[in-house]
Amino acid sequence: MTPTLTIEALAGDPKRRRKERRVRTLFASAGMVSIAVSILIMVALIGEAWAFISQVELASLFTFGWFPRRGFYDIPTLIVATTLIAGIGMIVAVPLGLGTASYLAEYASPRARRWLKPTIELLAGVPSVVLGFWALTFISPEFVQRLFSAAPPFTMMAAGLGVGVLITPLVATVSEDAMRAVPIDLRLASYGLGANRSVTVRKVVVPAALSGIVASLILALSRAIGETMIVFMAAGAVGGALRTANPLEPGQTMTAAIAALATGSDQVAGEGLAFQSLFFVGLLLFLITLVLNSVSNRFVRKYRERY
Amino acid sequence: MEPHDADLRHHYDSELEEIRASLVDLGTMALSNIRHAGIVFSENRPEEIETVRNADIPINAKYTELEARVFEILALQQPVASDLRFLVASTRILYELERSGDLAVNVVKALARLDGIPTDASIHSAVSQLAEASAAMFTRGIEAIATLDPEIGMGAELEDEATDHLTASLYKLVTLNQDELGLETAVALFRIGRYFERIADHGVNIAENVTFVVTAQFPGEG
Amino acid sequence: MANNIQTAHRATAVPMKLNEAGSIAVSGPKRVTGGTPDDSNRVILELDAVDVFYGDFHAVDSVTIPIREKEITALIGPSGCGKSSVLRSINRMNDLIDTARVEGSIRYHGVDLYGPTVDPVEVRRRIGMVFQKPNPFPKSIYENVSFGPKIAKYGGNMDDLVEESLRRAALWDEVKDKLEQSAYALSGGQQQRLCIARAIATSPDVVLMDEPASSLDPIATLRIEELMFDLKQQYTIVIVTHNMQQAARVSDRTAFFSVDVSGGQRTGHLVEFSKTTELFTNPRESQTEDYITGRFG
Repeated sequence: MTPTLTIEALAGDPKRRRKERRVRTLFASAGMVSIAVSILIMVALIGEAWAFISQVELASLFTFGWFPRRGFYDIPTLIVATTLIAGIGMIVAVPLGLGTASYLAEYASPRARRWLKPTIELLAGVPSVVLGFWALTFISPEFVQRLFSAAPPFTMMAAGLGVGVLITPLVATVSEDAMRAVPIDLRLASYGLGANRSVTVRKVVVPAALSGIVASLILALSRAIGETMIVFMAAGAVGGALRTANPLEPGQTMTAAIAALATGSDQVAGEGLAFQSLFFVGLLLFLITLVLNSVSNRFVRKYRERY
Repeated sequence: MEPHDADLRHHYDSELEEIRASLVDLGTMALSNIRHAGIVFSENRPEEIETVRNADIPINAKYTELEARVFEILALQQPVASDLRFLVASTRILYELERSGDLAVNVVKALARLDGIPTDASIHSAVSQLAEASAAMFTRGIEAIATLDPEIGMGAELEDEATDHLTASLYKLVTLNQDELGLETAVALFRIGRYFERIADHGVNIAENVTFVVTAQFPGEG
Repeated sequence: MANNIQTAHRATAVPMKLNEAGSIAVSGPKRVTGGTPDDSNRVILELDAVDVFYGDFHAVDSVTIPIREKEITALIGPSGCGKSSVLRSINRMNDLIDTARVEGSIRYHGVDLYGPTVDPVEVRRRIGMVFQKPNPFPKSIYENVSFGPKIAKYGGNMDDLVEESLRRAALWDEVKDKLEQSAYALSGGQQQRLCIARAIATSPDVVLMDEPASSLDPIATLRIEELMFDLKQQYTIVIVTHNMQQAARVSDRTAFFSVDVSGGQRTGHLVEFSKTTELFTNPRESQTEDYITGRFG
């Protein structure tokens, strides 16, 4: 005979339910803390940036160069340098990273893949200070100066190439994951229709993995823009920089400018607003990243092939 | 080949087995009524006519029920190969059995129309011999179902010649004595002869259908 | 009662007329069955003692099947019997598996498909394939159908080819107004017919189908079967199916495979290759009988 079911039997253990609630509260508060921290950062940035922008002479934001201690806050100098270095980095990382990803995902034998992938991931883990040093002591003399004999030891080119090496593994691994996530069925369909491997990669796998690939590129670009150490070490112009778009000259990116100001490594005393300018550049950096992310999101949503 | 220990279709198998057992049951019911009808006729027992007629009612009922079950299995199990052959043959065998039962009733009906059959010893013996031979041939059909022996169906046509001879000699006897017998009785005896011959034919058909179930071919085909 | 009326109506709806010779000609809806295949049909594909290996694993042992033009040949058998391996060896899809190796010969129009100068890419353009799960590309309906012709540098009018292929796959009427929509907006059955349209757009003469209806509901399945029957007028079809009734319904000839478990290996082999009508009413081998009547342990 089956025992009669009572409502109490279905109510469950009150102790278990209490525990469930406690765990839930714990996780919820962890989430709250990170949101709160983000808001605090925003508030601090906006406050100081506002203090800077309301006091500074607007004309000094557009001059000939970035010399904050002397009152020349030429923002375009930083933006040009940032764009240039990130751009050089991307020019290196996109073909190299996507090529690596395609090779790993579609061509490499399982055995080759087994040692190649960890090696690339290892490269991604190299501290940027090491890469910065390497950019300065290897890329610059052995590569940049050899190709362009007039180039000084500190150039945006060297820094950009260093950044490129830094972000290549990021592009490669994230893109490769996206490509491998494309269902095998789609590849079989393509081969079954008489496509060879390269057509399958270009016409089927890459379009299907596009959202992941674009995500990897955006991630890499954000990383390139946000990268500080390599630029700080290899691009020179620590105290300040003239506005230039020539990659064979030294330059200062937004991040490098912040780092220089904050650490005082520029070793120049002067203008009182210099410190607040740091927050303004920081806010600008933050906004650029934000725009980049939303643009990429929109792009991905529009063009991705959902499988 | 996978290990063969697990029979996947217990339920289905037992259903098919039940159909076969029921065919044998139904055949036995028809057979005993055929025998009874032969005795009732040849021994002139009009008082038992009703018994033979009543005995056909459950035969018809069982026929209808079995046919419905075969249809159900055909619809639900989508049988193939030997299962399909068995079920299709079953519907044919059912028909043969049911017809045979009806013929037994026809035999006693023929008696009912007469005032009694002639007591002439030679005719009496010819009728009872034919009735027995016919029942024997019919029995062979039932035997074939019960044993699933394809050999019975293969030799059935030949075996049935005995019945044919007995029918022919009954006809000859009746023709020779038609004046004494009178037209009505002569016609009745002709009919009876025909009925028993048909019953034996049904027995042959049943056995041949069993051969088809087992070998996928009717005797004499291919 | 409505059912009976319908049935009666259907029965009388078959038009009958006396022809000149005085016999009755009966015409009616086309039956979807294999019917009796014609032995005079040309053998277009000859599998001759085909063995398939995956590394050391001997998956299929010495399969010999002649496949005739404009017939549907079904490969059936239990899981692991190698029927899919055999199917995939026909258009060299097995090449995509590094360890796969095919021995024996598969002759297509007399040419050995495993000859040293044969490019599998060319083979696959002539021997199309439809897979178990509908696998349209995450592209528009139009792009799906035009994919094959495009990579083969088709020179004709692409719009016409797409329409023609979709018509043959009995999908045109359902999609003609939404060719630019994603293939993923279609139902599973429609997706599978799209995959068939995509396969025939490269004008193959053989189409391989690997359990093409196994992920579809019964109505969509019947629609695919009906379609196969129509396609048979023009293409030679080889189908692998788990559904024996499907093999019985659509195919002209059936190859029954079984699997030997000996020496720790599971090697598939061909047990019987017969006309479908014979195989399902009177199989020659008891192993076939056991399998098709569902008594395979």
